[in-house]
Amino acid sequence: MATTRSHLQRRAAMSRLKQASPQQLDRVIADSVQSRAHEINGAFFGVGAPGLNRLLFYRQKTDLDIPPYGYGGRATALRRVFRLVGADVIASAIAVLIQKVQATAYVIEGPERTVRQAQQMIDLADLGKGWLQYVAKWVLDYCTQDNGAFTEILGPGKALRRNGQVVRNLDGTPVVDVAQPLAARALSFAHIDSIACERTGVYELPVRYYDINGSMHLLNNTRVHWVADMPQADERLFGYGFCGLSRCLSMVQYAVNWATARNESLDNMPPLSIMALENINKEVFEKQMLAYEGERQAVEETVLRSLLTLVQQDPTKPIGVKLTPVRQLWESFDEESAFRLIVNTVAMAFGLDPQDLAPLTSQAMGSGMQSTVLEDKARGKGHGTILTQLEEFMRGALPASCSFGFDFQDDQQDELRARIRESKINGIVKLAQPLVQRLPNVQDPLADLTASSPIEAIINRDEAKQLLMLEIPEYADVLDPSRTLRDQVVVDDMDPTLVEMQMKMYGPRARYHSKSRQTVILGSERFQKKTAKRVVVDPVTDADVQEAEQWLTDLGIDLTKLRPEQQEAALASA
Amino acid sequence: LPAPDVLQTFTEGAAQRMVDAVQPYYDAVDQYGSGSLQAQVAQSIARRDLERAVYTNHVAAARLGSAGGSLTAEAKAALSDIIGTDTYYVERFADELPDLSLGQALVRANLYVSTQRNTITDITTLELPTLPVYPKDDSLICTWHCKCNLRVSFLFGKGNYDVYWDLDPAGREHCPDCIRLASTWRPLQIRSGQIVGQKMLRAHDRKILKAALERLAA
Repeated sequence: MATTRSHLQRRAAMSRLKQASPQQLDRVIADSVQSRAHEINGAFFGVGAPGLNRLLFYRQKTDLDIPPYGYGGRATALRRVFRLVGADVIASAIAVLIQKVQATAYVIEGPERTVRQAQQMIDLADLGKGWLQYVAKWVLDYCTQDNGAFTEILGPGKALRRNGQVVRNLDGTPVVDVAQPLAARALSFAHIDSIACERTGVYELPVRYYDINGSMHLLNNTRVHWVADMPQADERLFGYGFCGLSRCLSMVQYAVNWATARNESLDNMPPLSIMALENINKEVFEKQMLAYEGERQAVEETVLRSLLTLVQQDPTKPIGVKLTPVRQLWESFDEESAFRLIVNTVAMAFGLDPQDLAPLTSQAMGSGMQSTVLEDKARGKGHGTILTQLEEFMRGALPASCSFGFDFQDDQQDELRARIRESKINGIVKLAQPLVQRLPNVQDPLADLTASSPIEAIINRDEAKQLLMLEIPEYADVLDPSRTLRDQVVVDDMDPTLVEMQMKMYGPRARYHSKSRQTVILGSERFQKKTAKRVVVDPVTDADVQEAEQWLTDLGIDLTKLRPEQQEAALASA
Repeated sequence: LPAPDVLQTFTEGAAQRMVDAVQPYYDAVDQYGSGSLQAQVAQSIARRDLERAVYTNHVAAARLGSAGGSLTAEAKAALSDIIGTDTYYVERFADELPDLSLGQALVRANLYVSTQRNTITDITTLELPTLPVYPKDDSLICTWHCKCNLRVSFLFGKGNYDVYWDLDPAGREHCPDCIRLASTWRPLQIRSGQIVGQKMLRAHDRKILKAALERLAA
């Protein structure tokens, strides 16, 4: 049996749906045989960073040692690994994605009031830090955590109660019970640390959040949004994903080890190696080491090591020190190829274009044309997918009458639009130009210059301006700052398809109604649409009408004087 | 639409009838206590009275909407739908009476009156083609708080109407949607059953409208 959801939850679900209704969603959930459609599948140990594998422990031996998929500690290790020295390409790839998303402008459309509300929500994002901070953290979690990115949707709700008492903040305000649904529209949203969240698999309370003190909070469906990259099909994983960083872990290890080896070769310390000593016995070596340690203690050297001096014992047998480095590059190792391999693999994992990470060099193919083509393709890859995910979330979080979208720079489309506008402007300007009739004047050729006979233009200057405003509404405020010309435009003189225009003016709701106009009088149909909740009442009888008439008469309303003609007749007779 | 004084009389009468349906319950509570048998009986009576008040008020509003003419079968069908919806909500209102104070109950009862007044417009516009938007429409900023009226001029010939969006004269403020509609539907012209356009207000008309609204708000 599907869970019964409150009105607001339905609204929340509705905003995520595009065509279907919440009732249909309920029906679909109820009809599903799958355990994830029903509440009973709530796992005691949820799926996610803290819990997926609380019982599966993996002991990490080095910084680069990442627990396998499904083992505890993997999330923390993933967060650590891209910050290691040497993981430059991977860290840069994540930074590139973050910067790309931050640099993409967004557009909100809707009624003025709701757009203002939406803008306020976004200003307050991430507890007042703003949109840029929010998306930076969101993209970071989305790219580097298998658990995905989590967002808390903030808004009023029932107060939290413990032992019947309302729990209050220090300032006396009641603490909101996040396990209860939002009681009104959301005020804002904030990023939640993905590592602190785990998936419960319960529809109503899908996420468990562990705060810094370790307290557990169950988050209501209406108060949290979560999304993972490459969600797994395994039903028991509740949509746990496989992030971009996980997809290129071997490259992280490769890059870090390579950088370490390179640095060890270049710095002034011996590399990690096996040391073989020749012509010095163990006792003498240990004595010299003791002296060396004594010197270190004398100068209070505890961390770094000064030079170790070995003194030759037998003049005939020179001391030999042979270092065999543990890290070695293979013979055919080529730095350029290694770098390219890392760049390509990382770009592939994050859905980026390799050129975003490192410009194409050497080959002639790295041309401007190729860059353009790759840019066009990018929308369907990592960056585009991230923007689509964010758009989906924002559409659900913002007021329903608003639309949220990212403003992609589509140069081709802009150019096409500009060309169409140019030809429209030229056409209107031609109509407004006076037509000069040049008749040869034989007697006085100079007269042509002074007294050419202009024929009036087809339209005057004001009409041209009106036409320009109709074609290009963005010009209206420039062409007609006082709004005088605009106010003179009568709609029914402009366009024969006025019914369509009416629909455009009042949005899809009106459109929806007008398309179903098989019957001219749609009154009762209109009411039936509005009356999803109603009871069947007795039909209105003549007795009911008479009773109502009597009541109106008692109130002093004379029904015979309501129609204008009746009023006129009454006046005439009087 | 009826003249403003008729509208006012109807609104006051309808509001009083709703109050009369609710008040006895609270009298019984004051006298015998909220959990008493008498209060339960009074609640049951209040429920019946509220249903009846809603029913009769809507029928009376429809009678006003038909401007003295008899109610058509179509109008009666629409009226049943309207009453059915309001009855659904008023039954829940009656069930929740024990949780409400007298003040809360009176405010809530008064909310039904604007719906009942809206029935006048609904019945008047019944024979018109579907308009792009109606008072109390969800797509308006003021949604169901809207107290605007549609004024319909029935012109010569079949299917010819001029529809005006009249702002509630008693309202102290209006939502931008309603102000825009009031200034653009001057009138909304319907010819032969089709919406053919609207006359837009000129700048000086707009100034006059704005000044009138400011005067109303003052």
